[in-house]
Amino acid sequence: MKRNRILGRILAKELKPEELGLVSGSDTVVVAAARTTDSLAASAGDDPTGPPVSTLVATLPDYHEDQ
Amino acid sequence: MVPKRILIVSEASDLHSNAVAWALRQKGHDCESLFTPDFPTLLGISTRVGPGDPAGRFIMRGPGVVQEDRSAPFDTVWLRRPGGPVLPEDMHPGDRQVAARQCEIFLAGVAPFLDQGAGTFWVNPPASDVAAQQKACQLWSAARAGLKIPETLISNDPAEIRAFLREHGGSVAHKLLRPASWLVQDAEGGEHIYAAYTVPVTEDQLPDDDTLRLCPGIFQPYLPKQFEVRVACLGDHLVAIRINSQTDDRAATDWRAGQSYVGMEPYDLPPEIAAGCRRLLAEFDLAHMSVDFIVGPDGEHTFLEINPQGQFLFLETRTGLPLLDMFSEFLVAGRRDFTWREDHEIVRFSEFEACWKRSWRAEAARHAHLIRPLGAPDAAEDKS
Repeated sequence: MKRNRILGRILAKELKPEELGLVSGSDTVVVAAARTTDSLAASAGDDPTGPPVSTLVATLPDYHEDQ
Repeated sequence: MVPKRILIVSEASDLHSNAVAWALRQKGHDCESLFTPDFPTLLGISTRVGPGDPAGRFIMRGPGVVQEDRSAPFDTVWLRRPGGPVLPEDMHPGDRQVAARQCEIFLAGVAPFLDQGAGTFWVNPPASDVAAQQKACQLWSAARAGLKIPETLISNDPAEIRAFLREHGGSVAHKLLRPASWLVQDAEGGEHIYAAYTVPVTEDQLPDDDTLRLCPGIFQPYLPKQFEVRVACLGDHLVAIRINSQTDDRAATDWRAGQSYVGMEPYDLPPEIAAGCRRLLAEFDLAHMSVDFIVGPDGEHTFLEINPQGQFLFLETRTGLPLLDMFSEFLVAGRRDFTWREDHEIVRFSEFEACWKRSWRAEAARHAHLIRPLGAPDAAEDKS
């Protein structure tokens, strides 16, 4: 079944792995799902033993506002 | 130096709260973190009052809590993006809803026990922090503070939205009131992340009216830019950064989308804009906030928005300005008339990062974490 898509979703921009995790401490969207976090950290070239994307990666949007 | 007693209310995965706690301890202060997602599964919180003890006691037990009875007031409390309570996934759905509501109401009421009326310095006062997140109020207050604001429509009314678009030549900038992101699965099972940044929207991109009215958004005319400015306000101490967003298409409309590709540098804020920022702080009764401006081809600064708990450490990463030290000193000073001075040994964010990379995994394992779903994965047939 086709669902309604809100305008924000229609206009959303895809984030490439190389666009994640490059600027620590910046505004970010936190990528919460662990599987996503791990795979993105790896594909972004982060040290796989380093902090998770959700921690060090800068943001998609400010994540606290998603709560 | 008398060590200060500082509480940071946040969540375990928040980089800023961990960095500042580290810096404060490096400086010899007593810093404790209250990670609200640990409540209620890992963290016990009690408030107790009685006829003989009207000021009451605040007691917490859990991971990382050094001193359980924190009845003595804190010198400073930093409300750094506290997360909501996290309940077990396997709770009965009926119980979960009730417990979640009880947890939220209880947490919202503990603030008085953290300062007990003793003049604790709040960054920011809880009610002010909440009020300052309202985008319409931000614009209204910025205008009152003497700052130039863009014409803005915040609406879910399709007629108003379509009229606003036509009024502004058929294309305006759209953003959500709160950021959002989605995890999308493709037909092969691959995952893609999409985020809602500020982007131009035309009328033919609008969904049907029944859908459009389901989610309000912010609509503003697209303003020509020369560059953008972010200002971190630490009391009276303002740190301004110029973001050269127009040097790369990926950052041109929303610099956050291409922040890695554009230069950032320290910026001398015009005195009238600095004065406006300080008036805005006072207007919202805030001790700290971040402010974003667009600077047009004519050099005029147009206020975009504030974030009462905005990120600031990337300013150090990108420019070398010691934001971690500045913010830590701000919490220690505990005054809104704070101005940072380079008269001490400065702690650096890069030093924290080196430590954090070694210890984060063990630290994270001790705490509960917010699950922030990026949205249900799209079924492949929904992508059209």
